[in-house]
Amino acid sequence: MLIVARKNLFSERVRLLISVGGIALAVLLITFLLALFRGWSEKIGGFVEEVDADVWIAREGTTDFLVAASILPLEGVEERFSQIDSIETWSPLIAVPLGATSDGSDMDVQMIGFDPSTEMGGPVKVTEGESVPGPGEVIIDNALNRRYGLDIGDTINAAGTDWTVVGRSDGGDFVAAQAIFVTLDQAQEALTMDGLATFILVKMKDPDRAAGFARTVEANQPGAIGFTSEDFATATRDRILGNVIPILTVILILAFIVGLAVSGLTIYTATVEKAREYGILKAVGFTNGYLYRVVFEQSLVIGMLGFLLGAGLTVAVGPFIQNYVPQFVVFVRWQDILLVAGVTLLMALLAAYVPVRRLAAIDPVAVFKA
Amino acid sequence: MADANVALRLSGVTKVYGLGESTVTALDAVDFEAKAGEVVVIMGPSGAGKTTFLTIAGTLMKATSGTIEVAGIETAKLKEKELASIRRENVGFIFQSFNLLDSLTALENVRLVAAGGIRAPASDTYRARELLNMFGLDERLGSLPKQLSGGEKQRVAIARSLMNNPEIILADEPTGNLDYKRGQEVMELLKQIAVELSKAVVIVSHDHRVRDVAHRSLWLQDGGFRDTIVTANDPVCGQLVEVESATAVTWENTEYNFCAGDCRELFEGNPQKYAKTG
Repeated sequence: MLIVARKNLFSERVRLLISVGGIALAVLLITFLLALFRGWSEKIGGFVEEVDADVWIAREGTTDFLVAASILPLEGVEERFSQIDSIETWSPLIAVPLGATSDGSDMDVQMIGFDPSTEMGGPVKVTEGESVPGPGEVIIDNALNRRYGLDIGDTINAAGTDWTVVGRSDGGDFVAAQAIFVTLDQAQEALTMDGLATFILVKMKDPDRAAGFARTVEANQPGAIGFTSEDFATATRDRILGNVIPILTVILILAFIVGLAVSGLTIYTATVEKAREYGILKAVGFTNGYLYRVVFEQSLVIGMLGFLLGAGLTVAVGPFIQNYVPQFVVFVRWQDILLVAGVTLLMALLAAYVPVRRLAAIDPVAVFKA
Repeated sequence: MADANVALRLSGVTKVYGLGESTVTALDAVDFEAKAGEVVVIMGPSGAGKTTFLTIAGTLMKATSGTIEVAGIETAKLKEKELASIRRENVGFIFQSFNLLDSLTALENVRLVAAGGIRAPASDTYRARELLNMFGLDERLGSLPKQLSGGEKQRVAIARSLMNNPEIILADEPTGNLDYKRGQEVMELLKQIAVELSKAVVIVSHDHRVRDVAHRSLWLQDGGFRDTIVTANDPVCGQLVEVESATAVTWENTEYNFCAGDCRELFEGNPQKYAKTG
């Protein structure tokens, strides 16, 4: 680093702190928002991806997993699917959003009724207790434990039935609601859905044929629609996050502008204050290129320090916040950190642009004035 | 045949400011030479074109016409980057207000101008230290400009001007911000530099004491050098004025000359106060 850049930068510690703080705040906000978005995206679409199925069949018009109004009759399905060689196995699944209560607390849950014989659509990863609930029993997602203190042995009322918690699992947190798992027949009974399911999950012998099978379902089964697992996860994410993305984008742009404004203004005022010194340097034989480098180096160092501070705080503080605010689900990806580093670099270069133009206009003759 | 000792040569240099009817001719076909080993002082009234002369000689400003040779290099057709290189390598500047960089120490201020400020090899540090030691600043190497006295700052500035071992030193009012004693010291130092280091030292100044150490004194007025002039000190501000063109007042049989009407009025208001200093 050029000595003039280094000395200018570190001799004004308050200004440096303000500049670095401005960039760090912007970086913190940007990385938090990206991590939050990734976290939500992971939670919301993650369950669908984790289910060991290649094709999801639903009622026509169904768009996603979480707010599905799908009802499918199960009558005759066994007979039809048994004639299709490419199907390895299939399983009905009930997924219904409900309000539930426990010990005076109201909570939003996604009641999932799965077939214990196939375990398709069941808890992704049981961390404690039973892995298959019995009659009147339920396995809850750990997020319900974190949010409401619900634990094994407690009772939760959903769909007019009191369920005893017998296990806890991960992978069923959809941010706005959390999964409670019961067996299919218990769900059918509680929800009066005898002979019905929300989805039919199909596992293909050859997963590459999933898309073709999904299209076949649509073509040959009126009133039904087929999704590959990947498409259904994407559709679920889009449905929930589609409304959030524009808001996040606006906040990201605002964070960028705030970071740019703070760093740009501090670098500009530092340049204006040092205008005479830059004039001296020009007078004693330094080129404009050298002076530009001085300003760019200062801006880049501010950007780098701000980035390290902001990104570091995100990584360090994110998990702590998550403990206190369960909805604050952050998932930091290295690709996003790299993206934010690029954004910070852009911020630093733009912040230096106006001061550099100012430098070009400095007349070295002015330094002869006392 | 060109004199190899001539470090700075201006031939027929004219500088005109402005356009159309509002033009001002600051320098009018000026010829000038400064040789290695000599101190040349350029004096003259305010607005005479002294600073214009210095900035053109230092390649900071382009002349309207004429040629400027710095260390034997004709500068008229050079690009800004080449001119910057000449300023760094062949010319050392000394300013009235010292113009040191506030955030750099004395040593760093001097070392900076070497190698374009990109890096500081040990040889640069050694030379900068040597120069500062030569000027009695060996105890002040790590001091910031704000921690130095005016005389010390100017000595640091002189050391900086010599860092790249230039052929020419251009000094603009080098004693302007110093008291009498420090001013005398700086002038002696400049003469020593010219003689012992064989530099051409060109000084622009209002301070008549500067003439005492100069090998040659020139009077710049109305855009040109005047050969024979009679000068006197303005008793109010101390500035050197040309008697022929100055406004004058006689008091107790003595004529006093003034640089401007303001000084004359001050004198007339209280001649006893100023007369003895005239």
